[in-house]
Amino acid sequence: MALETSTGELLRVSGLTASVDEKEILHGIDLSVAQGETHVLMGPNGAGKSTLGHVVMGDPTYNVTAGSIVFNGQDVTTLSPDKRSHAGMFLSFQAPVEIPGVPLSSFLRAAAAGREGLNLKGKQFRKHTQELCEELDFDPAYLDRELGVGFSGGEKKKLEMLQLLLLKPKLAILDETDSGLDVDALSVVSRGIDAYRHTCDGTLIIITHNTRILERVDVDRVHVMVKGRMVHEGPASLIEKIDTEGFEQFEQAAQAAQA
Amino acid sequence: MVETTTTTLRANALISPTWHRLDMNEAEVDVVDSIADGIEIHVPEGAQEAEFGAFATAALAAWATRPDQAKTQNNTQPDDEILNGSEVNLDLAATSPVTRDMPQAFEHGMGRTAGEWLAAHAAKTRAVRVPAGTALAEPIVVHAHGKNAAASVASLDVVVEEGASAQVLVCFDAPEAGEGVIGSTLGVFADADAHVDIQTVHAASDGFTTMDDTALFLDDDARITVRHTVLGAGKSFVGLAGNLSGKRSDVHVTTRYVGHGEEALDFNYLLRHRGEKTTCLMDAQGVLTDECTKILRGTIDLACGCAGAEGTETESVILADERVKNNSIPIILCSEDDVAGNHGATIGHMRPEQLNYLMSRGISQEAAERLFATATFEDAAITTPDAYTRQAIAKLAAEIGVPAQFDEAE
Amino acid sequence: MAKQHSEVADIDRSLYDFRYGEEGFERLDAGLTPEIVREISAKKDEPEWMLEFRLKSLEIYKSMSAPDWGPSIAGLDMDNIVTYVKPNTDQKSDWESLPDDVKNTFDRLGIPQAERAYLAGVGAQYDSELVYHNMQDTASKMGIVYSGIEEALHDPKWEPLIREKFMTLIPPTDHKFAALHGAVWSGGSFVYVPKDTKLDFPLQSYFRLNAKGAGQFEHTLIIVEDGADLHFIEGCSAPKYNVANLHAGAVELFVGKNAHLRYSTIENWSKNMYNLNTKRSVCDEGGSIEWVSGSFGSHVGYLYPMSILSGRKSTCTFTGITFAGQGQNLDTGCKVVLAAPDTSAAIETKSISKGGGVSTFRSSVVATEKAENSAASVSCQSLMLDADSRSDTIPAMDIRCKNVDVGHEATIGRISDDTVFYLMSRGISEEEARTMVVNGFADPVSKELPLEYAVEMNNLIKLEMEGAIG
Repeated sequence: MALETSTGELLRVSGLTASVDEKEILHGIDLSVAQGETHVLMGPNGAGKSTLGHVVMGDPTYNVTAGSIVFNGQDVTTLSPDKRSHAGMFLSFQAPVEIPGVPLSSFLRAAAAGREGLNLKGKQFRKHTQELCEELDFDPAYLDRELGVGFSGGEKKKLEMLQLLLLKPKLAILDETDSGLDVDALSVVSRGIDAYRHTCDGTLIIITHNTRILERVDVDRVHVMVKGRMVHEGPASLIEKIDTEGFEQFEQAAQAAQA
Repeated sequence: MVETTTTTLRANALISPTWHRLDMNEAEVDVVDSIADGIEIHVPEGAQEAEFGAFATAALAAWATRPDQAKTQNNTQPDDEILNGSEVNLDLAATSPVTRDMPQAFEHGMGRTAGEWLAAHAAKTRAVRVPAGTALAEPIVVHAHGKNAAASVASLDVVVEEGASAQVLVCFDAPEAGEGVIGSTLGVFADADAHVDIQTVHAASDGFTTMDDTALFLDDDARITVRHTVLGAGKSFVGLAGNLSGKRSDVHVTTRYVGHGEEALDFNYLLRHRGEKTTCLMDAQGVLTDECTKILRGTIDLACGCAGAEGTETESVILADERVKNNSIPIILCSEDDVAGNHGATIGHMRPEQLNYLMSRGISQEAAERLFATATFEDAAITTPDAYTRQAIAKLAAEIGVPAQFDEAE
Repeated sequence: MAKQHSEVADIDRSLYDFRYGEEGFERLDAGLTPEIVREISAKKDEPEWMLEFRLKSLEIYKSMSAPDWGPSIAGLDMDNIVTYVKPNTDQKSDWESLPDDVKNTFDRLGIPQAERAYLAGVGAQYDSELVYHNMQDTASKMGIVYSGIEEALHDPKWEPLIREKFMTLIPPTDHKFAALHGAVWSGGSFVYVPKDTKLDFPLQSYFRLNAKGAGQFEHTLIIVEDGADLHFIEGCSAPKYNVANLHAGAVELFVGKNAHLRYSTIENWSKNMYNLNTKRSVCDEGGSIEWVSGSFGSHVGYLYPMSILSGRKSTCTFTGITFAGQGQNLDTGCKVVLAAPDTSAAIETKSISKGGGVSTFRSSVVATEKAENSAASVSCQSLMLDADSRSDTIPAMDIRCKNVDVGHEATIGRISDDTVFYLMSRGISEEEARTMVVNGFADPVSKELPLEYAVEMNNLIKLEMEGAIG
């Protein structure tokens, strides 16, 4: 595993401030993730964790008013989401969209197009995606169904993991904020993470407020967010501490800092 | 028999008409020109007299602060400018009739001609101001009683200032049998954060024609709820037009009706979304029995600049007799992309799940349809806070044999 | 960025927009007079009743006013429209015998290839006259007739039937442009499918208007006898000129007892066209009519295929899509009359507006007193691609029968930002993301089309979406 050196740095978020409808919701976020590491981003409900994931990916809902996002040595702060994706970034959605009339297979082909190693011919591509489906215990019949339409919660998770494995991004941000409680979804995500780490030694940021999802993952760093601010950073052992003590200490600290 | 002159007015016209053959584009109203005073207007404590034309004055003033909305809504030019000899500028879309309409501060729901006729024939004209921050404890009440061979019309302007709230109740009834017109024209201005509730009840006998005309103007965050209940009148006309000019302003219209005998019911709604994030809901429900006819025109206009607006129209009609005629024309006009416009209608029977439930309790389909008619009367009586309106509803029910049960008012 | 991501090959913009000269063509004077009408009739050597019909129609035309409820047709000056342009050829039954310009036109549109691949018969009209008509032997052996309507009119076997049916569904009194059609109609197809005959492959007519400032007024008459089955495809295109062209065709469809007719159209007239077309069908007991209609072209369109369900248990389905781009005002929809017990109609339409285009969905559903136990459902969805465009929905329902169920739902909206972000976060460009959503939106219609047409429709959408961003 790569060491924490500045040369191995994959993602650097500096002083990132973002707002929506003229209301500031992220206040000067700093975050550094090295190649090959697994980071966890935790915090109570409404801390801005998912927002940070979306802003890093370039969601146009949010306006970046200050700060920068450097990925793999390139400043991506103003890049459109598709360019970020092609640069090797990935964000899994809590709730992928539904697009009636667009079969999942057509969507996957379009997502894979123009990527190195994925320019497979029709049949080969289909075979490849079918294999990935099997790996995730995802019925390949879904490939012919309309994207997201009528998918259960577990199937939507599988859909996201399927794309993670297909696109093999350098950095995967998994937004698992709401998935902690569903046992089914948990195992899908774990399986996805295992396969992702196994096949491409990828870098991960896992966003969650539930520690159960982390039981089977080797974590390098833990970051804690409260009210749109990064308030604490520590080693993997921090997870256990949060598990028993919750976020209260950080919330209090944040309040004290604000006052 | 008193000699009367009658006039025929065009009213309740669609702003975007369709095939003339369908005969839905507009209505004709036969009116008598002599004026009778069957009007009572009660203005409660807390409200103040305002100057004649207070609604128009307030609406024009607020409109003047939004010059963007007062410009033409579409960037299309008139055709004679597009045409240059026989050459056509094919990069410009040919205009549709609706795009030729100039935006106005307010419109009368029944149309300009009918609105002006009502104002000119009003036996009583009042203008009321509800001062900023005042919540009226009691409603403003209009009772319009039908008089034989004459028009009994009220004209009322209500300006509800910033943060104030008010309720306006209108009841049309016919204490004695006869033939004539009962009507009202209302102009309601809701300033920023104001809230107005308007309820009109048509409880006249079949000799009468009712004309229920309303113009609304809403400023930022204003909210207006409207409830139109048509229970009786040989011919009833309801027209409401609203300018949702202020940001986040909201209009919610509830329409309930029962048609009997040979009654003809004619509704025309037009809500123009002009401010950002404005919302509207039009919800109409009714039962048609015997040989009655009904037309409901509902237009949601999502004008350029109303980003984030949402308009919804729903209608359900139960047709309880072979001979009824039901016309519905729910229109959505849209020239803004960041909006949502929805419409849904069910015409014919009540929803299967409703009927199944009722049948499982031993109520036949016919009984269920009768139940809907009776319940509309009962619901109207329960909903109105005005004791006189309740009596008028009970009187009408007794006259036409609707077996509605009314709890005696306190 | 590479543009090879789609399975559908990019199409050449010049596919429809090419034109040839009119050397050797006969062109009557512009305008509308009894003399012009007599001249058209004389050229066709028609029966006397048809000339009388034309002259009567012209009178009706002069007496009627133009529609005042739809898009403006002020740009259409009838005095400048040439109603009759005869190409320099007679009708042929093999492509090779056609003059080069005419043959090349249809070659470039892919009509002969389609005929070889999957069609049972093809008719091709160039300006005012049919230039090609051919049907496979198997179909003619089944007794199916597919010919030019004028040819059939000269055949004593078919003349009485045509006289009985011609412009009875669309009488000249119906509207101004139906009257115009009655006066100056020219060309078009006649199809007769005998009792219990089922044709497995579609017949196709293609209409090409090459002449500048001209009108095309073809008449299509299709009779599908009891128990028979037919799929008919209609395609149309024209090169773009800077003056108005007019299309005022008429389509009359008679569907017999328990018969079935599917009528598919992809309309891609050039954007100087005023498309004022009228299509109508009547279904006898147990008969069914299926319309599939794609409207992409024209400057102004008025198009509302009508289904009259006059037989018990007859049915109608209408699947339509309209795409209005820059400079287009397309007023489309359909009409249904439920005029017998146990009838049913299902209408599903989609419309897309972009670049200042105006699309209006207009419909009428009428249930008469006889429509006991009938049902109709209307679903119409509109997509706004920008704030410069317009999308209106004007559905009318006239219900005069107790035991009917009429449902209606309409939605207007845009492509959600969340959807675009999701697709972009997976590496898909914004333009492609939007095209993907629009294709998905159009999918219920394209899947009703024959494969070749579905591909063409996707291409048209792609073409329209190009440059839609920024």
